[in-house]
Amino acid sequence: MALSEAVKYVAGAYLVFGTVLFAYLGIMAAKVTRMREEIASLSELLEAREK
Amino acid sequence: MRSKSLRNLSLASAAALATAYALVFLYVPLDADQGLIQKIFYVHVPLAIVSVGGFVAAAVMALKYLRTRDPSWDLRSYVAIHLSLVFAVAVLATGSIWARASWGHWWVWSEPTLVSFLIVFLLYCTYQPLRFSIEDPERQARYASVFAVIAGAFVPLNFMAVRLAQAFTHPRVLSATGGHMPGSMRLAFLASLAAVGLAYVTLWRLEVTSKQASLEVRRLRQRLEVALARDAVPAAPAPEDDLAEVA
Repeated sequence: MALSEAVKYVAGAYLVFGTVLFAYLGIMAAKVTRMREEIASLSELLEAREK
Repeated sequence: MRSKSLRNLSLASAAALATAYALVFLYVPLDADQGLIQKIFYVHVPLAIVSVGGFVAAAVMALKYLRTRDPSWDLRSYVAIHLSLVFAVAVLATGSIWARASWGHWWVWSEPTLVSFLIVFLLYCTYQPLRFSIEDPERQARYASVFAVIAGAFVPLNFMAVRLAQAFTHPRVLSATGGHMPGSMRLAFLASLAAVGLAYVTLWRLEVTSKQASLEVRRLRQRLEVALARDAVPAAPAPEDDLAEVA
């Protein structure tokens, strides 16, 4: 197989791994952001109760 | 303390991945037989080993849940299966890319390693629908744990069966004696395996921590909402007052 052809396959395989890794991290980051919003709304509720 | 150790783990796995793939592309010579496409193995095989290891680890965690009934073990097992499935998708994709480059086909049904891995993948694909079809949390955890233990026992049996089937076409990276790879290739392979394993552990801990924190936040919200509802209701008269009125 020609080197230029092989490069495409190798790049494709490593790209798959990179994409999976970064997609997972992206989803986790989104979850953490959502949790931060949840904590902020809980703080608001608590403040309202204290008043 | 927990977030600090998680950050250190994340940094360690990023460094390990960078080192491993620097070794693969800058240190290891081209394979005499396969040429450049052999480098796919440094990502494909560690992913497969870690994914299968994750399924077995999930079975051990599920067993711990069944013994202790501690829900945190069920959560750990669930996250391990979930993450192993994600890694298994990458295994199938990278394997197909290598098969296309080497054999000229994206998939070969007569190859036992490929088909058996697909069977394992499909088996675990049924875990989530099974789990979330049960509403009662205790029953859900129990059924999911039983599934994880049985499927986890099937994985090594399946692996051994494939080894016994003596595939002629699927390359063997590791043999019973530790492999036939030259020193530099073995070093890069072991570094890749360690890096992918570390990445798995990091992501697993990240998700377990996130799910535990999310559950804690939900519990706090419920408690706070109950307290707010109690505050809103006017205080009922005390029983003594009622008796005084009657008298």
